Amino acid sequence: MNANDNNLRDELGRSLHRQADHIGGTPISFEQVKHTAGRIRRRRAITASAAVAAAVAIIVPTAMFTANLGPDAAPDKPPVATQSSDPTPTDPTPTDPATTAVPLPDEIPHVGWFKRSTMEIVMPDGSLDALDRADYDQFAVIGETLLASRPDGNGNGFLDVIVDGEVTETLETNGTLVVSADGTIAAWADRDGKVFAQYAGGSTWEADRVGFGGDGGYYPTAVSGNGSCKETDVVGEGVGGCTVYVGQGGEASGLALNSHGNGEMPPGLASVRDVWWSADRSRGLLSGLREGSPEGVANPDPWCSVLVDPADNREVLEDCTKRLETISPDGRHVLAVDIDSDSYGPLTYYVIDTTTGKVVTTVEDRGTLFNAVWEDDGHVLFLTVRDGMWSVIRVGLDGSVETALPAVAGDEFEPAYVLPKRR
Amino acid sequence: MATDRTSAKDAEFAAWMTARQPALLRTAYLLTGDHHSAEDLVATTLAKVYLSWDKVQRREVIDGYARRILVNENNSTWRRAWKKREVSSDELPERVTIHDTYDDGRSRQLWDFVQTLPKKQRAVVVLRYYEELSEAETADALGISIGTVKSQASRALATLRAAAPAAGFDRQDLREEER
Repeated sequence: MNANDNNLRDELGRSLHRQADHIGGTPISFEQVKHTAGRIRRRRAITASAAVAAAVAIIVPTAMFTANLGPDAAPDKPPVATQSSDPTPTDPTPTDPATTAVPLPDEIPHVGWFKRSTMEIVMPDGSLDALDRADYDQFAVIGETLLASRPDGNGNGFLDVIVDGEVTETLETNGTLVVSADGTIAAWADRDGKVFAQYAGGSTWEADRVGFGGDGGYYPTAVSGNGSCKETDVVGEGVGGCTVYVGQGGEASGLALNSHGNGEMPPGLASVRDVWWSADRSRGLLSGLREGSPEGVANPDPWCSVLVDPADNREVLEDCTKRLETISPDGRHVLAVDIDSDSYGPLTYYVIDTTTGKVVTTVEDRGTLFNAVWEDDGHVLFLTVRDGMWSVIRVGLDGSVETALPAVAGDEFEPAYVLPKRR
Repeated sequence: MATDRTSAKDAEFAAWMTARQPALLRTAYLLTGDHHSAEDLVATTLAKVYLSWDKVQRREVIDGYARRILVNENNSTWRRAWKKREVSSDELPERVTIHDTYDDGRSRQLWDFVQTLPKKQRAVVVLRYYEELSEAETADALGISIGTVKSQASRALATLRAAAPAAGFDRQDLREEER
């Protein structure tokens, strides 16, 4: 690097030092900081409460309680979530407080949703916003960024990156969007199948993206990480880095794309559906598919679902009649559907104990079930449709069913509500 | 016990704040261009660090964390102002007279140029050439990729290069950051 190359950089540096080095004045006092912190804390609480009031105002005028939900359905009320019962400490990662949820009373809904007819979205933190389009069919909130996906009509998709209600970027995708179990990392693929991941990490509207290499044709099925895809990030006592599990078009076996380098699929697994870690990263579970069927059991499908302990790749659960899906926030349960469920949507969902493998709750006779989302450790939200009526129901581990969002008429192929990819 | 923990936390934060505030203020001034905005930005940054103090287990990351909040809060403020369609004032930007016998006027011209840069480019320039962060450290602070740091720096210099004749810079000095 010659002197000319350094010249402008050095001049800029000297100029900036000349401007700034003399800057001083009366220091901000600790009391002033505490006062400002209190104001920020109160503003967040007020914003959340106002958003809740507005959200209720959306629901109440459209409240319709239909007989389709059965006599045991409870009166309408907004989705309610409680904090995870995982007793381990919260993530020690130093995140920007703007992206950290302020503890809210239990009665305030914590799970967001998008209502197509009004194009209004209630965010997971309870704030309310209006989007400019009605055709979003998937969304996730990563830090302060809303990722909203919509189809392009040709089998692919567009991913709108939305910050403060403004679309800051539109990406061409192959329609995929997956989110990590802790909601901090999202992944998708572009139309060449190149995989991208985005994480919060304190950034604002332009969070970093890690582009993974590959021959294309990938579609993400799950993503796992520690809050950041940057291996240089310090996260708690460890480092960042994420893994995106992908399927390959036309291929039987998937891949694990790791931001540290080449990742490895757990031995024997053909695909990964979900990855869960406890808050302190001491326990983990991975749900996926592997070939084969148990000896002596007729299996119409060449795949079996398994739960694997990622620490030692030990299978902790096997089920060759069901397809395991997302794991509960506390890792104690997993959602599952019949392995021969068709692509429109299953009619039956199971909640399975990850320790015993036993079915603890069966959800059936509720119409076709879409968008199952764990609301908290003990409840699952289902988007359902029956006879052209869309609603969101809340199902408890005890089998209780109540209406979370009221039934509205809609096209049977275009849901009236959209639930987030993760809570 | 809770009171003791709070007192210890407050004392620790106050000590860090005392040590770090001057540097934050200088960087904030370079990002905002005026003293009042810089103080406001630092006050918000310190408050947000304070709100997260319990979450930070490794104190050596605090400085980088505070810097990240500072630059991102500055960007957020700009975005909110843009949404409100604020009308720019007729007032001239704050000017501080620097009496420097070694400055032939180029320093002022460079500072004027920096103040015209888009927010992100300006942040890259400040972090790279004032705080002398590496590309990786700058990327980390801004939450962007190293490639974006390079491209933003390159664009800033390209803009300066385009303005070179009017600014009186020697074009030969401006070939840089093409890597």
